[in-house]
Amino acid sequence: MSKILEYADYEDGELLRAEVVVIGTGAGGAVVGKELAEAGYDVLFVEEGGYHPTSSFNAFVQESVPRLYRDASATVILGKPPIPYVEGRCVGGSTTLNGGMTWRTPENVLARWEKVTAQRDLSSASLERFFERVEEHVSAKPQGDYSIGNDSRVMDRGAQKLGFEYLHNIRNQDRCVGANSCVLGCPTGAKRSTLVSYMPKAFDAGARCMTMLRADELLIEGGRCRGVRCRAVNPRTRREDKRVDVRADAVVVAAGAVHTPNLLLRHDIGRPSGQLGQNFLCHPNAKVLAVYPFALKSWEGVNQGGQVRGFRDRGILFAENFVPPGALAAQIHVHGAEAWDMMQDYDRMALTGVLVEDSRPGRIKRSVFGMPVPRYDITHEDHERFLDGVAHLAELHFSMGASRVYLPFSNLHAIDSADELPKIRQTQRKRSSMELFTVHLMGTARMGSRRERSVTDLRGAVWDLPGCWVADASLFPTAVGVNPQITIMALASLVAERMAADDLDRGRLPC
Amino acid sequence: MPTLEEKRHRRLTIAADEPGDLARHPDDGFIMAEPRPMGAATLRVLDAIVRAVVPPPPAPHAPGMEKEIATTVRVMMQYMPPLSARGFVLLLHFLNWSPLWRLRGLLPLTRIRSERASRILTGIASSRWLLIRLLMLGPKGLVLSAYFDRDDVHQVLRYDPTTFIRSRIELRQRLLAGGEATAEDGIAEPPELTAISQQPFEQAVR
Repeated sequence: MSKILEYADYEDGELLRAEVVVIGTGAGGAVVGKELAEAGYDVLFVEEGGYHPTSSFNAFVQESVPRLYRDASATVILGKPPIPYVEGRCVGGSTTLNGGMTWRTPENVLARWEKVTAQRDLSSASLERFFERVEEHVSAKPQGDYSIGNDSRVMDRGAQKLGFEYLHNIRNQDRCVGANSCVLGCPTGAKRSTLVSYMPKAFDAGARCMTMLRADELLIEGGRCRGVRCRAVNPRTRREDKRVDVRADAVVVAAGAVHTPNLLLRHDIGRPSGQLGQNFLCHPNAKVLAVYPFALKSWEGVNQGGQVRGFRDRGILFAENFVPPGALAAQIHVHGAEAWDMMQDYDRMALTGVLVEDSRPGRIKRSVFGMPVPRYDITHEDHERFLDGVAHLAELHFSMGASRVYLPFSNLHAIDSADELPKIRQTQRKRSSMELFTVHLMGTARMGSRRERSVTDLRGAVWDLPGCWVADASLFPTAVGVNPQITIMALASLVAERMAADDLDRGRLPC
Repeated sequence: MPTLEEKRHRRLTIAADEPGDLARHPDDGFIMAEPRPMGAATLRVLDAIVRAVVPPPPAPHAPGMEKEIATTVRVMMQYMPPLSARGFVLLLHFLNWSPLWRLRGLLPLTRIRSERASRILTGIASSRWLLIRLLMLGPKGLVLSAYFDRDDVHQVLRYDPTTFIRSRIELRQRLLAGGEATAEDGIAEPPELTAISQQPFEQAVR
């Protein structure tokens, strides 16, 4: 019998049992589940998306998005300006479709976390062994030269010309050959997402995975979390027409920084601090699309070879991130004949972005219909940093010979030379004219050492719900300023170790 | 021929990192959602918006293309939360009457030529008011995404990812077998990029 179950395998009203149920199979859930399975626990994953192995991946957006992305990517953070976001809904979660960057949490961020929590648990020294462990599991290393594409060369050499620091990415990959289809699932198997790294090891250790099953509510009895009630989604009609309960000694919620608080907010928990759903961080991005007078074929070569880190002290990063035409066209500002005129230059384009570290958090609320409602406003300070970042990145492209640069502003779509850069400052007065995007969602069930200021303790255990842990980016006390994947994995590894250690103390998982 | 159940079993048991044949519709037993059911009136509105948003000729226009795009949009709607999908239907009808509330005419988009409908929708997408602009975000994104994901469009854009990815899978198999990458395995660099990389900033921007 397969260890992976899907809709056809469930019966309405079915009840399953496990020692540990893990909600989510992304960077947090897969890690904590694998570690606990290898420690001898009976682990059962609950995953809302389907199981799609490497053999099912291709380069086509319309086939891949429904399989891999939450809500067909129709997800938006409300605010000024509204920010579309995407996240994974499949086995492997967002690690299946991210760019595969494995930057550790910067030292200054860990120092801030140590200060915020007033404990050394989140210090650089304490987390070192967790970072080493997860980096080994996902094979974090630099790219081979043979995988570097022309959009990465543009960024590297443009940064050199302008004196900006450029760092080659460390990525979770084994002999990545730069197929550049990361966002639709790595078709070569080189990217070591949790789909191909942690999950197979969890299965080898006896874990099971129930896919196409949405965690609807926690089962709470006598003040303790005893399991989770799920709804199975009919793949043909997309109706939730089967109910499945999973009872367990421990429940680990790792559904991401939007859906983890949304699930917890259904219950009267996480309230001592009032922090559940607060502290929502998202590293907003602004896209800068350059057109060159010669063919770059940016779809050939690794999806992101490096990052411009010259402005890291201001919380600004630049990076390239090319996407298929079906994904790019969804983000352009025109349609009809104008869209065709623009997209005809597709093979001469380099898609790049400015990432700004959050200066003020937003929040997640649960709507009366049960849907999460993310809310986030960029500050005037963020706006200033975006304007500077976009201007520097556009300058970089012109220094490399770009003939046109499309900008992320609704009232200034493009400029054709470096002489027009001052127009950015002249025209941009309002935050609402910015067009942003994000993929990094963090911080809505922050961990801490005091229950008045955090949602979980430093083991990831929810302060006021015994039997319930959190193990995903929701735990971050503050933004990390870099790609969060390895930080999530390291914290999940820490949570798993402490859950197992508690068990050793008490003879079973803590009650 | 393997049954659906056999294909599903193979998908659930195959090694997670084994490459496949890169087919557009993997024949792996995974069931995609049926298009969202819609009444005739809503279908007409969706068709009108698709016609107004897709690029007109000389951009590629295969027979039946607009119907296929509308079907793709309806499949995508099935993966939205039910409330969002219902909201999307209302949005389509609201946009259908945009000539009226934009004071551009008395007839809905379904009753006017697609060129004119396209111009009216352009006015909405480029409005100075954020809330008005946002109305076009979803419909435009879904329709253009479906259009630019087509093989005939890829061909005209000189975009052929499958051939490239297939060659990279072969390269990786060679590396996994203990082979070394050679200079020919690198991504070709256009000579213009090499040349401009050597020019100082002031010269390059002129």
